[in-house]
Amino acid sequence: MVSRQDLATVGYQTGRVLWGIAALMVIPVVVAIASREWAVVADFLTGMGVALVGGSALVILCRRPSGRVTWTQGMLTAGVSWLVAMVVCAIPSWLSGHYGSFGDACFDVMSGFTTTGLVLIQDLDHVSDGLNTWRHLLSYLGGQGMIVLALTFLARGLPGGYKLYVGEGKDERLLPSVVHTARAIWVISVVYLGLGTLVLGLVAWHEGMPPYRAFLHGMWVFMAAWSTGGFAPHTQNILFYHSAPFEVAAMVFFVLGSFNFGLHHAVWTGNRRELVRNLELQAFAATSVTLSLLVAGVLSARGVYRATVDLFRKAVFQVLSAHTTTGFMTVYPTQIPGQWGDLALVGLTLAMILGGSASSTAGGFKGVRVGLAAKTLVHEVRRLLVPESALVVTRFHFFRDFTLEDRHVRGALFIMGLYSVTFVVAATATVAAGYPVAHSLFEAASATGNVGLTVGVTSPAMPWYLKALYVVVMWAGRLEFMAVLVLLGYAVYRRRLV
Amino acid sequence: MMVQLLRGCQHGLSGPTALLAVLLTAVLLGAGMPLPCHALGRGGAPVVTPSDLAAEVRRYDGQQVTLRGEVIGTVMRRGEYVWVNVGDGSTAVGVWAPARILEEIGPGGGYAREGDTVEVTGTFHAACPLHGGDPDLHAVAWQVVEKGRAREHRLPPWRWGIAAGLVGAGLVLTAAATGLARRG
Repeated sequence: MVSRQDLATVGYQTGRVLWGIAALMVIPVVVAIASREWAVVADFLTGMGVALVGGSALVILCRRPSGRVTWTQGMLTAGVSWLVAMVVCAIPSWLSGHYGSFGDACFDVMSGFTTTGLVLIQDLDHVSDGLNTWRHLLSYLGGQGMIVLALTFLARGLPGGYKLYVGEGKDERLLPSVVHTARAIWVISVVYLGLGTLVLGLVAWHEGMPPYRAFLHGMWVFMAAWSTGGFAPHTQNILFYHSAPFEVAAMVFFVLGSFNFGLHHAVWTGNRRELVRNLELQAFAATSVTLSLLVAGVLSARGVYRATVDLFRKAVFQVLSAHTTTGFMTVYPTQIPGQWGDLALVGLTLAMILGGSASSTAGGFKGVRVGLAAKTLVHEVRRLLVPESALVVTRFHFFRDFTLEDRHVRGALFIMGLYSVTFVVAATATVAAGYPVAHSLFEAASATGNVGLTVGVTSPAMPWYLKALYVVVMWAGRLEFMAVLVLLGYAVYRRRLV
Repeated sequence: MMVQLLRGCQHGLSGPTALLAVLLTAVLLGAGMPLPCHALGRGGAPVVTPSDLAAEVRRYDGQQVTLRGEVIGTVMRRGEYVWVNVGDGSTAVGVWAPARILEEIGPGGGYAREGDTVEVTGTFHAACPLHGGDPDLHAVAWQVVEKGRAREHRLPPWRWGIAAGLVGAGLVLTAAATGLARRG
């Protein structure tokens, strides 16, 4: 059961996360000053002050706990710190005047943290550079994980810090120490940030943007692509740029962002064979090609695009955007159900549910679980076909060689089952709110899988209870349920607090 | 300007038809009946907003329309043409126009300013064959109906006071918390 020691640990670590958020607000303040947006500077100083006061109060009241972080503490910290951070990060967004309510601002912050990309922001085309930087920074930060960030800067390490790391939906240990793993994730992400901003910025400049705007757009779109977040600085999303090279560059970065950090690390350290042997990458390649062909076939049959190259450009971009759970769009939301048709809608919904890779910025079932499910299916069929006395052994490669065991299957199916239940609950609630079934399934898959594609259900006008449900669904999906289940368990059994 | 507008009329309604449309509109209004479709722009093309086009791309595909909205974001030059994005707060439509449009429109709207409100007449494509299947509008005529202006973002002094107070208090508390942590 949860003890006072557990709560002290959760409070202390959450306080430190708030300090980190206060430090991060310096970045939009710098951008706002560079863009001469003085009112925005005041908004962020207010948010920074609240984060510092709140964080310090928690650190003082809870004091540094002794001993190793336990599994319960790790899960509770992940669950609680994301909720507290959401409220504090929403302050400058709400003060900007671009949200109908504080709840709407919280929705967008959670959407950013969870790299979903659904938005309730209003008049996006007049948003300041400072706020746009903040929105995209939250998405970038959420993709890597706030706790990963906190662990990165813990100079003396944290006993039992691995439990915090797992609580945030990551479980791949790239290096023996979790602090070194966290740092490796940030090194990979920051190197790509430099490269991505440069590439996308140069393309934007070449496509007619002045240098400063090109730099900002390059940085924002890279942050949203790498984190598979899907935010964009304009209402048209990627359609704003009217540029095939920009689309291709963004697509490369969001596909790279959807890969397991372990895979990046393996390739960086010279293990390129992992690209061919990795079960997750094999599953992703198979489902991406199949779904792209399905959607392209539907678009061809419906005669939506005259040129084959246009047809594939649209189909592949949207399928990969859905499959990597990015949510970038190069068509209007209404075009998917209206012009592309129901079968394409089903293809994209499936892609969103399957999702990207484990231990990445992506959401959804995750490739390794899809691969394990497929391996299990083949394994069971083989078992039926051979004599009862024969021993059927199935192997798979996921950074090292494994023999398929019940525990692998149980773990994969457990999370897939929780995703499915959450998806059904979100879809049912959306239908109950009066939206068409196909639209509800699509939007629920988008929220549960942290995707961000929309057919227009998510808007400031949607009912408040649906907004609240989507916040919970995005949060639970991103943390892969365990942290949320521990938090719910604590809420139910808190009377037994010792 | 008039020459451009007249060029835009070549696929629109002719003089007598336009007159008939105006008379019919007047009769309907007089009878207190709702209009069955959008108002007509110059040259007879229906006046639509970016949201109208985005909501019903198939309905307007290949049609001559007059798009009314604000120029938003950076206008991007591509050789002899430019991309101008015209928005209405909810969404926007990309307008492909000759570069000489830049002689008339100001910078696009953003945080610091409202862009010009324009009426652009041209052909809407749900999936433009010239631009990779993007939905867009190819402009043949345009006019600025309202000039853009700077947006005010004045903040009352008390907001600065609250911000400074919170940051000050936060820094003091952070120093105290760090000191306590060092002492163990």
